[in-house]
Amino acid sequence: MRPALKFWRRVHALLNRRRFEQDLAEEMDAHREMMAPGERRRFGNDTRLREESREQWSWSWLDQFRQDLNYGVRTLLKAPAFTLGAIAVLALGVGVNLAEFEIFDAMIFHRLNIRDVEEFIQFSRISKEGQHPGFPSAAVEFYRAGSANLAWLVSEDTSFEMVVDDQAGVRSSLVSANYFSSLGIVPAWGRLLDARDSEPGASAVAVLGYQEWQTHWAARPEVVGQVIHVNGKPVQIVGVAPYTFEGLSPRRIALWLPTTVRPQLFPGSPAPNQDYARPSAALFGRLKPGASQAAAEAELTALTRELMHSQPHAFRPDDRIQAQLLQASMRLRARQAPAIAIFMGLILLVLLSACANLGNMLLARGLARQREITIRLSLGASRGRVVRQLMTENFVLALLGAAAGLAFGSITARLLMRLMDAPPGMLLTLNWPILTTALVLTGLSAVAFGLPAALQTARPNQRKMHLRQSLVGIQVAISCLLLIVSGVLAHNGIASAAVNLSFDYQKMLIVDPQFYARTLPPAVALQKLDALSAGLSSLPGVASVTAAVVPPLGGRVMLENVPGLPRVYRNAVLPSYFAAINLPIVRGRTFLPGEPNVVVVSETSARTIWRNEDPVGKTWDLAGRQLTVAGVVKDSGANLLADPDSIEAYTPLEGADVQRATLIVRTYADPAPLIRQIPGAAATAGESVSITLMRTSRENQLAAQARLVTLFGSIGMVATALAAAGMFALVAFAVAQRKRELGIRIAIGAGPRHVLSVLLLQNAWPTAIGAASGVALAIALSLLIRSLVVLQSRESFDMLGFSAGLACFLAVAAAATLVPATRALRIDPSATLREE
Amino acid sequence: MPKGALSMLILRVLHSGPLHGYAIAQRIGQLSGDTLGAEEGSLYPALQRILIEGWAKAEWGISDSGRRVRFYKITRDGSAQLKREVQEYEQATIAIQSILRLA
Repeated sequence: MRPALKFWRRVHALLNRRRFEQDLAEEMDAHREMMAPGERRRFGNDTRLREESREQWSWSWLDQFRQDLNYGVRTLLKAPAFTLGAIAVLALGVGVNLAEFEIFDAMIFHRLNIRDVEEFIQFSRISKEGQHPGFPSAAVEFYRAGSANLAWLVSEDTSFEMVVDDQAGVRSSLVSANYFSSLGIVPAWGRLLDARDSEPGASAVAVLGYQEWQTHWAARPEVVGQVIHVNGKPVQIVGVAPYTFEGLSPRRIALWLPTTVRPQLFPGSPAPNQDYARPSAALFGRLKPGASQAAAEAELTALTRELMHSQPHAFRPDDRIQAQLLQASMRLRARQAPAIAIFMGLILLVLLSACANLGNMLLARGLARQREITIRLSLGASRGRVVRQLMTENFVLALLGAAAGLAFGSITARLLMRLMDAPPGMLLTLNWPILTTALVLTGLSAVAFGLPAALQTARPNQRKMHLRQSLVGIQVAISCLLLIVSGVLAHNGIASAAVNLSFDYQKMLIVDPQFYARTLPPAVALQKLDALSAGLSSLPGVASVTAAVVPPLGGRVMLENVPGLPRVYRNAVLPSYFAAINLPIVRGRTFLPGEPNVVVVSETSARTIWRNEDPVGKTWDLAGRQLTVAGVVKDSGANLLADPDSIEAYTPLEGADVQRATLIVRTYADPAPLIRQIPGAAATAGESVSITLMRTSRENQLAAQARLVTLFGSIGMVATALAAAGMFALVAFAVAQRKRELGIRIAIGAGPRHVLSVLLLQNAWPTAIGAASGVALAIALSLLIRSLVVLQSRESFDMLGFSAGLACFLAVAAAATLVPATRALRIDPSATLREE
Repeated sequence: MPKGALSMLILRVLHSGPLHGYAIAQRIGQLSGDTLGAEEGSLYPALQRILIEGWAKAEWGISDSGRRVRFYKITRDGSAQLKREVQEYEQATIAIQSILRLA
């Protein structure tokens, strides 16, 4: 109770402040009068004692804050050029970063390697009770049939608990029949789910996730065709999803099953097309070209109303359908990607650079305010009080800067999207985490950079340049680092676009007969393979047909570990492989039919293993056998996209490998029309096959990389702009400050060269040290980036990227310092000397 | 002099009856032999603290010399606080003394 009373006494003191002050003053006056005249000096400093007494009322910090705020705003208003400059610097730092963050956030989905994933929409139901992402499974077909605005609509339900063999809690997903075909996913092995699996009477089938296949199935393709038990019921595995796809829901999916299989796995559960009771199916779709998101929402809402007549309990009475771009709902998962951590780090660096800039401006301004500060100190202001006042000003600046940054950021984000030619559907959102981060960061940076500046300003006798120079150094280091990183990435982007796929992937199809699903004896499989390829060769438009276990760009790899060598990407191929896909043989020859223990190596393998020697005829220990090198082919380039260190080796397709073989069909023109003819040709040979276009994955990879380069490049540019502004300001300020001195120097005959060197040399060291540490950091960072982004350059130190970045930085730095410095040359000595 | 000590002395002086600021300073000066001497004014921040804490109440009145002054009167909280502080002080002193003797 007592603290409460104390609180009220303070409130009382606050409300009756004037009376309190008067009482105190009168009392102190009386005291002094009562003292003997000679003694009065012993009373002490009246002003300070009153201040101390007032502090007892304890609201004084609030009071002082109000005073400081008042004063700060007034001084800022009095120096509009400085204020606007500082706000602009902060706005640039904060704003551009917010913009970048938004865009990166929106773009990270390219990691999914699904084409146009930015345009995927997730639907949810909104009522006054809130948002619900699930729909009754029976509604899905109704929506699909009734919608005119959607190119496709798929459903995915991850709410069922499955027991697979003895493994409980397997993350599984029940999907609509058109799920994989609509998303454009390519199988790694076997086939993915399609319409026939959802037909009435179809047997239960499933597709494994790549990760699941690796961890629980020892990465054996023979798993295709095997029967597993899901909830005790037999289910046949028909394929493995590619390693790039983990499902649309936020959790990585281990097993996909068609929705229609539900009654079999959960006896007693209603057929999905009649189930209105369980609203757990997530709906995803894509708009038809020209259709608007609003139209789709209105349409689906109308369909929902219609459904409600017959199924009043399936929905909430005020349910509306809302369409949201998938990226918004997937954001959480993307956040965990390590690339984001690096990206965030770089963003922080740019902000740091902006703040270093601000710190420098504050210091310069502190010098200009020396007179005012000295007066305040000599009038009895404590140093702490002056610092506090300066910091209040800094916070006002930080707040204004952050606000301006938000506005600026949203404009920049849209501008950048234009520049990057982003898909029109890509959504930019400014959400609370981003906002809060921005504000907190700005606040923290106001402390980190404002405080040293304020401390130095409040100590007028020490005019050391160290702080300012180290701030310049920091900026130089950061922008150097960012430019180099952008340089390396840009170089990499160009390199990977230029990675020559030595074969014509545009005109090739992968046709998988899935022998592994049937465990055929190798001899039989080989026979069937021959029959099938004969059948396919006779199709019009087919140039050649060959077979390999690992079709290029097909989502599979066969890795061999050879001590002392980079990862060896092995492929087992028919002798006709190289000719059929147009991969030139550089030396030696291809295999002869039935030739044992031979290997064909790629150029890079040959160079790596037998430096400066002719590899043909050499023996090589690979896959547990002694192989003789028959020939050398060009690097295919297919594995380089995923692993630049990779080397390639080809062994004859024989033995157990035959079962895993796929056919590769090269066409004369666009291979797409063949997709419709191949199943028929395969059927005549008694086979059923899965078909994919080779170009799909390649195009996805390139698009994602191009955007990454634009993004990093623009961060580098912002950091450089900031550093340039910082150096410009520093030199310009030095010119203004030393105008008199320079005037005298010119008057007594200093030449332009001398004047320039006086001005420029003071920044030479911080710039040099900053640039050196920037380069050092860039080397460290590029190692890190290398582990995340696939870099094409074989050396870990990308000379061209580094020097391009560095050169770009030096050019900007030179311009930023020379322009204001040359202004000093135009100083008129007589005018300057008259000025004061 | 430590901050807390001054308010303890003031409370102790007020314990014998209400006094105004100048008188408090005088009394402490007499009793202590000029401890406050260096800066008599430092009494006032301490008095403000005592008021805010509720250890004393102030009332305007007329001094013996006919001057309008503020009289401070210790409250029950103030007496309790004084007792507590004196106790703490004595305990601390005893502890320090015994250490000094033994060490």
